[in-house]
Amino acid sequence: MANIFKLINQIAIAEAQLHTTQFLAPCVKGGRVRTRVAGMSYTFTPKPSKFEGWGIFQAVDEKTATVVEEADLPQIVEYLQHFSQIRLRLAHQLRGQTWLAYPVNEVDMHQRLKIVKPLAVHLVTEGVTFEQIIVRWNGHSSWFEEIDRRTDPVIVETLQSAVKQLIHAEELQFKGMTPEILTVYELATRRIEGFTQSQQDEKRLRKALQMGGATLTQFHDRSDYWTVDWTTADGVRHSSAIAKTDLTVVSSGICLSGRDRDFDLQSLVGVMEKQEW
Amino acid sequence: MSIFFHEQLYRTKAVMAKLKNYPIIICGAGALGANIAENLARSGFDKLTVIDRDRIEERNLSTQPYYRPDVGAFKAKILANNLYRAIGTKVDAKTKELTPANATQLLKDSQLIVDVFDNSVARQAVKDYAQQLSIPCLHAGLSTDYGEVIWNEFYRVPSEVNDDVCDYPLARNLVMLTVAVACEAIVSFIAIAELRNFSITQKDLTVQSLFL
Repeated sequence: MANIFKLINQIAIAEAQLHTTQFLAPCVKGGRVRTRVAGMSYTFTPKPSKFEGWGIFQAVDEKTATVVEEADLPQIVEYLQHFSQIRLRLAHQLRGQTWLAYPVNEVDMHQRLKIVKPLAVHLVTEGVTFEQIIVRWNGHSSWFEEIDRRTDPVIVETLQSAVKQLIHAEELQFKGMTPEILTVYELATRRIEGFTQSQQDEKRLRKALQMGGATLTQFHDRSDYWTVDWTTADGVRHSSAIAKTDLTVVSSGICLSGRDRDFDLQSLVGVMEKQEW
Repeated sequence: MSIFFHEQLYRTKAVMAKLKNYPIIICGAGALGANIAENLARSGFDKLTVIDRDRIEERNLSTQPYYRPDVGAFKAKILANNLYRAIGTKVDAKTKELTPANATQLLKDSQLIVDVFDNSVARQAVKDYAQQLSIPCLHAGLSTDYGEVIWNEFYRVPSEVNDDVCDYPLARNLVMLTVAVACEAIVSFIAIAELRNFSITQKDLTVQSLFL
């Protein structure tokens, strides 16, 4: 049986050691820092409490550690080298220097970490939406290491340009696009005004009608289809039921001899104008 | 194989060992300073300090080895980070303004100072410090169409007043030529203790036709 006094003595030595030891740790805003001294884990509230970044800390007591100075790059790199390196693409900022990112290669990610999901990456100092980055995963959190210089910068520009043009993920297509890029794009655009499902639906319907020479008046969601009110160029109003999946006609509003499904919203405009059926 | 394999074949192993351990302080991380620091680091110098209080501006990108996302950050800090990421050289970056009052503190322990500041007040402070402590100091500077690389003994500070301006003509090729000449002057001093002074003009870039 272990001698209790000996154990207490060991803890006392470890605590004394704690107060003389400076340690390097990453710290998110409002978060805590952790270190291990003599086999014992300690968690501290940083002082100043608003500190965000890589710091050299000194324990003041069992609960608080002050920031002695900001860590420099060689120190940070040395720390990060202990953890697995993964490549992610930034989707959007969550708060402060924390971003949501998605794996560049799902298969690679699964082989390394057995997980494939969007990850929160901390202390992203050079964050630009869609930028490919190198991250270190410590089993619980992922920490930004650097921008991945090997990636093609045109991908980032293409995606940023697509956002400006309010191009929906379903319409996104360019050379070099991967399923992972599409996922990042969906993650990024989900929060942007103009990319809500309703706005996208309206854009899709308006575009189809415009190509046929008609205009959209209004539309209503009916679960797996829309009822679409639209007007032809000569001012005649129509209401049609249109499938959400591929904009085929569920019910045109006129008799199409049961062949409604042969038409889509765009071609329906011509049919209505000519009344060929 | 060392990163500096080719340089070593040219300079010899003995010279490379000298360069590696020779502490140099570069005063300024602008067109001349940043490129000199990069050139020295990539030539095998491993004990470099860079002092510059300025931040990167968009107009710096044509002559200085920074990137668009770096705009707004401290020059010295980014330079040190870039060189560490590129070749693993740890450059000591000081993001402070050098003045006569703090020159001693910032320049202490220096064996060789390279002055590439963009203003006469700071240049004078460096010159005075080097002279007072008899520390070798190389000044490199640019004017519209010429450059100078001059050791402290012969150097005259351009102006007695603060001449820090931001709009001036500057040719990248002249910058790079002056950088190369300054670095060669530094290596010559360390390798064979020779103090070489230079004046460089754009005409030194003249290409002679080769008639065969």
